[in-house]
Amino acid sequence: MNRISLIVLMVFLAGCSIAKCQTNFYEHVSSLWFSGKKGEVLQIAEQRLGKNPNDIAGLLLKIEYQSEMLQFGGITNDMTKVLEVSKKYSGTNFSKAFPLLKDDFEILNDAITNYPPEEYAADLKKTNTVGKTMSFSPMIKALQKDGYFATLPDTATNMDSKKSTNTSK
Amino acid sequence: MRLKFTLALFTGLFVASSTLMADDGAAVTVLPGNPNPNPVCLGSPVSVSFSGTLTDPSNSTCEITITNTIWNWTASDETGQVASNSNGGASWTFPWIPANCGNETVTASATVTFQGTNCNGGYSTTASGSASVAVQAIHVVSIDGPTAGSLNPPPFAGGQEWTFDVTHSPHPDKHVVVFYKDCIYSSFNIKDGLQVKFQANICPNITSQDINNSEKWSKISGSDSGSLDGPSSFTFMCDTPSLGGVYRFNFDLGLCSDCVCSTNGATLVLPLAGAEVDAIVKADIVRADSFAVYVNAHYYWWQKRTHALIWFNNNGAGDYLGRPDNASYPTVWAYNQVSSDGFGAVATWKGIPIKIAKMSNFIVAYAARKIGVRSTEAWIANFLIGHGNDVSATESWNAGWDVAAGSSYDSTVATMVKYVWDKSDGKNEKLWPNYPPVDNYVAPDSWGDPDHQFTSPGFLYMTNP
Repeated sequence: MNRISLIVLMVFLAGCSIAKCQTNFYEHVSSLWFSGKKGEVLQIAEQRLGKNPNDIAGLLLKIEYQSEMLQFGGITNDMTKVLEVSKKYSGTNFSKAFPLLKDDFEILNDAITNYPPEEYAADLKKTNTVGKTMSFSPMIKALQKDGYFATLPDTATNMDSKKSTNTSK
Repeated sequence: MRLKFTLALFTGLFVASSTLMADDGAAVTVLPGNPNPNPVCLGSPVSVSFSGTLTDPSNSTCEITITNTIWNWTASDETGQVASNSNGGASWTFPWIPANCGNETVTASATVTFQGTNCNGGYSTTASGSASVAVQAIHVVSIDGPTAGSLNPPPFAGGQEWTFDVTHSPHPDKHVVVFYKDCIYSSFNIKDGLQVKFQANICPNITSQDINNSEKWSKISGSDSGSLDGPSSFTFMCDTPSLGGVYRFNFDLGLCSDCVCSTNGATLVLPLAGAEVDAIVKADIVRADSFAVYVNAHYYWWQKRTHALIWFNNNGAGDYLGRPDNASYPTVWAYNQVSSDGFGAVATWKGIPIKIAKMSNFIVAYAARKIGVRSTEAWIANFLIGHGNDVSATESWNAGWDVAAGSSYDSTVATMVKYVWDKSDGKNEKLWPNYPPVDNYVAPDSWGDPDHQFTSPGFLYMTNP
């Protein structure tokens, strides 16, 4: 199977058409999340990260899922990684949203280190709740506005990597 | 031959020419002007027309053609110049606006340049004429009262109705203005003895005896508050007006129904704030409760913070927007400006003029506490950016926070709006309370015209926050 065919298949398996993923990525993952198909969002994240471990969208969606499931192991490393790779991406809209992303990470870090037990018990019962929006939806939306998803996941990755002279693939 | 300047008889008659000298006999005669109207109302434009005639030399073979005419005119307080080509017209109109009472004389001179054929030369010559205009007008000024600050102050020049359109902004129609802050005690009661005095000046001077005491002031429109004191003299007082609005008055000399300048208008504006929003805020509290129920059922405690900007900030989701208004009791736009994105208006809340940003602070604080936010300080820092973190912002935030915890809405808000009234940027202090309810309210999704529509924060209408 050639490279393009593999990409098409992976995208299809993730539950979205190429067109959707390219131009309506934000709407697609938001819809999945809102309807409670959070596992599918994780799949999309992992597929993107399988192509490029530095994919910003993949990392954000993975953090979104882990925090939603209150699975905090490793989440700090992923947040650190997002901040690292985000510095090398120069999309206008994402750059504007970046301070908000840092604020959100601080809030999340606080939650991880100081999660009140009674809150944890209450929140654990909500992990399968439908009808929610993602915490990082403004950043995913900003990436889409910047054309981050206009190319297929691996080529988007290549494009990102080329922006940095210090980043090797 | 005598040639009026308008005539176009001269073109193409002869090719050969010789020089005509002015002293060969060519002359200009300027006929007296014809003012219209006459007499003229003080401050109103008047046209004064003159006509000129060029007389050629007695030499019958000589034909002359006007190539240029310059008119210079002079009045006591104004001068001007008008140029014309050879066919430019025999009369010229000067848009003179007299500023002085009495009889005015306008003098005009014409310098005519001409060319002669079969004559002895081509030169210019001048002449002048004058016209007399009687200036007779009523001239109304506000001469007393707390009336400083009008964006288009008196005098009201004669013979006009002087209408006032509340939507004309930022350049309103001519008016006397009285601000709310200048008329109230700290208790918000109207001060005793508030008076606005109007004086009708007549040009030339006429006394009451001259016209048999037939002059009369009357109110054309406006609220029923206050009274006219001494309406049968050249001066009258608007006594103790206690309600905001636009008051229009008329002065009639009582000479005859169609006499020039025998009547005149004057406008007194006590600018109304936006209409009463109390019912809207109360309805929004119910919406905020529904919002909170949904959020508390779906989101984790820390997610309420990560979602804060989405719910309360992005795209005006946490702001009341637009200009609250009532069609029958309209606010005055020039004193209640709203930005193109919907910020800055003043509403009436619990009877007190208040900037709508304070309502936004209140309802966001209310919702924030309802969804379990623990610290006010962090939220104030987050959400008051752009609204000015002054005392009024903090107090309005605290009021929402307290009401969410169970304090009485009515008493908490009534106390807060009075306390913060003089602790903002002063815009709201100029505007008078507007007690009827808002009638231009729309849901956030339908909002798009900040001048004509008013809406609530978008988060209150989020179906699934």
